Amino acid sequence: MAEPDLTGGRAERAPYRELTVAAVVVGVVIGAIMTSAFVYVALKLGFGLAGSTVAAILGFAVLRGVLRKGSIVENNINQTVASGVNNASSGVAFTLPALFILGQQDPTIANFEVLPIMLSALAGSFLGIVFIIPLRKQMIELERLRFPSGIAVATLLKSPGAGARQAKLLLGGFAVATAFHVFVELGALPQELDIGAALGVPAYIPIAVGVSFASIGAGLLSGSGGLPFVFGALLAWWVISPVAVGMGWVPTPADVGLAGPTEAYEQFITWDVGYFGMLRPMGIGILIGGALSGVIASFPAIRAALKGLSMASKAGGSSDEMSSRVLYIGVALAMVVLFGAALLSSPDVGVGRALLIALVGTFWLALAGLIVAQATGMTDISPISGMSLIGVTLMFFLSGGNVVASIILGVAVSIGIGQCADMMSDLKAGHLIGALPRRQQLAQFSVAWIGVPVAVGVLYLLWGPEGGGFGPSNPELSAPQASALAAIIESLQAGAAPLDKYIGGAAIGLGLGIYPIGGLGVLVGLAMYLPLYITITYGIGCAINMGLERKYGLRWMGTTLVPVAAGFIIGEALTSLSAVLVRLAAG
Amino acid sequence: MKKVGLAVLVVGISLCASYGARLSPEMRAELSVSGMASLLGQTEKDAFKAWCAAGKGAPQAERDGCPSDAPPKAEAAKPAAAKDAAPKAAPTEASLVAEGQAKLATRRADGAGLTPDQAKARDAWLAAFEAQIAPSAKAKVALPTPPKQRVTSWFSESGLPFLLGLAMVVIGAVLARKAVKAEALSEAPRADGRGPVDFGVLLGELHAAAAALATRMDAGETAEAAAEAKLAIEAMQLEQFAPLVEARSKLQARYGLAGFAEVFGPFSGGERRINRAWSALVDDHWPEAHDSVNQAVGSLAEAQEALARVIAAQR
Repeated sequence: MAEPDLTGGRAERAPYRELTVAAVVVGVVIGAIMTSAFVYVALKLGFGLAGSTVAAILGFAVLRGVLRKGSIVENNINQTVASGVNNASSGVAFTLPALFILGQQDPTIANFEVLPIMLSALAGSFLGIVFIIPLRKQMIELERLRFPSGIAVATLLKSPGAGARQAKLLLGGFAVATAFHVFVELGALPQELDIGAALGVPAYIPIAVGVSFASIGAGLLSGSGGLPFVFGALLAWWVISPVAVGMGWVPTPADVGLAGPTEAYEQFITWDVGYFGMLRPMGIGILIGGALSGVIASFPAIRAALKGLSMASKAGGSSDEMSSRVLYIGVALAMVVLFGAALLSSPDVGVGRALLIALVGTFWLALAGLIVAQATGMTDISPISGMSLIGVTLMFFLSGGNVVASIILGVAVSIGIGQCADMMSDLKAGHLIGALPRRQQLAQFSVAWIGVPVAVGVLYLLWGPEGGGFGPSNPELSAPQASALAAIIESLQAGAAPLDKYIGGAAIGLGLGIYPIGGLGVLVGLAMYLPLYITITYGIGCAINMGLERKYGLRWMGTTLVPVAAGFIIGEALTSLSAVLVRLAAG
Repeated sequence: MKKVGLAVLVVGISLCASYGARLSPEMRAELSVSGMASLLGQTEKDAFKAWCAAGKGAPQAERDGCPSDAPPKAEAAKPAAAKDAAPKAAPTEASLVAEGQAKLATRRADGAGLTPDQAKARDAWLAAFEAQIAPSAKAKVALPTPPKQRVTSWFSESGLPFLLGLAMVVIGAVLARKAVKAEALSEAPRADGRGPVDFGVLLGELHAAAAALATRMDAGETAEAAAEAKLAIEAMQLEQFAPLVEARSKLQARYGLAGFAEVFGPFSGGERRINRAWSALVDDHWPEAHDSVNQAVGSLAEAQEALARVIAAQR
């Protein structure tokens, strides 16, 4: 038996490795590489990729494998930094290309400057991080939101000490999800099982299940808390959609020049009318109302969190939390930068308008960041594109219809809200492994901005000296999200905005906020915003969780279900990423 | 009461969300126009594909824009973004229809030399092309309904049932809130058979377990002590922290959000410190693990004091 060390080992032990130069440098390098690659992926395929899992695995390889000294919490810093840097990739790629695309058609838009773009993106990046400071306590410690991807990353980080059984379960979940997703990627399995079509049920009453172990995993980690999400989806697709058709609220076949209903007509009323015209905008409205009511309901807790941060400031910053001073100074500085970006974005934007844009933009960023963080926390799905769209719409009206200013400032919103969701998920992982939030936030503050010049630089590089490097006319890089944003801006220019649906939805969201389930409005709104098959798969995971918990109890859930579900999420995420890289390499 | 509240809320949200989603007459008309253009456009595309398949090798197919089997010619570099180009005048519905009709006439005049099958496929495509000219022109120039008008028009048609449903949502939510509060304050076993959870007792047991671990760790580092500490922490995480986390809604209903936050803030800090101790033990860093457990004991004691404070304040 070894002799006890009565000195506590302090004499010869270096401090516990956490916020180290190695962790930050490795995180920045991984993050910058991911940003460059993921900007390209977003322009090509229209979706962004989260980098936390990849960063955690690479961090293990470098910090523990190569440098032979990485700790669990040090790898958490590396993964926080890498995903924070990478966050700019989708924020930039979903919004900014719209300016290039619209500039090709309209010479008055083509003459935009890079400086306000950089300023706006940097302001968004910092605002996203500072807004999370008071919300961390609320969402992670009080509301106990699940953040399934955060749990998955934490499970991965903890794997060296979790024991052989849990490692096997993690690997088992990983293998199952990988195998299924490989079949989906190869086309051997469909992405969605359309049971309704097989039964002859009309498309506007969909009965479908997604073939996604990541969605099942997210549901498994959420349990009964995710049920309102399923309720929202059923309300949207099994109540509102058939009621709208049955009551004749949608165009009839005769209205669209057809003798009778055809398959194309069914698809038209399901998607163009039902989804894009009714459910999606109302879902966005419910999300906004739900978040607003959440802020009101949580105000005492947020005030307590701010008071705690204030006390930390007075105590000289020795607390585990960032001080409230950082929050206030950060918000003020970022607002000044946003004001500068607005002023420089276009000669038509005067001081008064720029001030208004900075104020409302900051407020919207905070609210949208809250919505996205809450939605990610409860379901692992984040409505970033919808919130960015509202941000651009707001900026469009505030800037007096100035397209350049609205897109440039929309970049800030898009990056900022992405930063909120990403940071919160990393903080959840940090909580589970015992990281100090202040160090995580400090690391993200110091280097997350690096992703902005990388993403904007890659975008200019891909656009090329002659222009036209991406956009709807380029099949190689069609920039689907930005092209959609460009189309929406064109419709805004023509005077269209579904204001009735936003207002009606917001009222419903506010009403749902009274119900004693936190985030009910956000969950219902998010469900309306998504196709049914995604929600149903998640719901299956929730139902399995509830059944297993009842049968085996909480301990079993923690030791058995969590690693399996984490394996599902990690397996599908890595397979998707590999498939994207293989497709790109194969041209 | 909770079930009644939920039922009222479900009916209410079904009503107000359905009427909230309802389109105003202008929007219906707008979507009819765009829908007609899109559906007829799709029919035209399908007919075009059929014609291209039937017309392989025919010169008209190439002139109509069917994709050729021959390798594509190298495209000349595209001109730079149209920065200097003058903006075109906005087309009108009539000009678009005239443009479409002119294209149709040119194509109809170019029908000689086709086999009967090819002629049939091309005629079908031209008929589909003709059918979509006017709807497509109308959709292209149609002005969207202004946002303000969308709101007033929707509200005048759907406002009453929408507001009725919204009122039911609020009533249902208030009833459920009251029921949840009453349930939290009652000491009776819950409907699912589980008994009431005494948060204070569980918190006290957790604090005692953490303090005992801290005392054992004071003895110093050995491999056995590290393994034992890790197992003790895992047991605490699964058997003591988890039930307290599960009981949080009851605590919140009992003492309000501010009181709940006062207790749960230090409790969560203690939980995080215990998690950190586990990580440090896995990383073979005994001093950090030891410090973290001691800090967790302090945080949990703080949570106990906070709980005593909020209970006293409520009395």
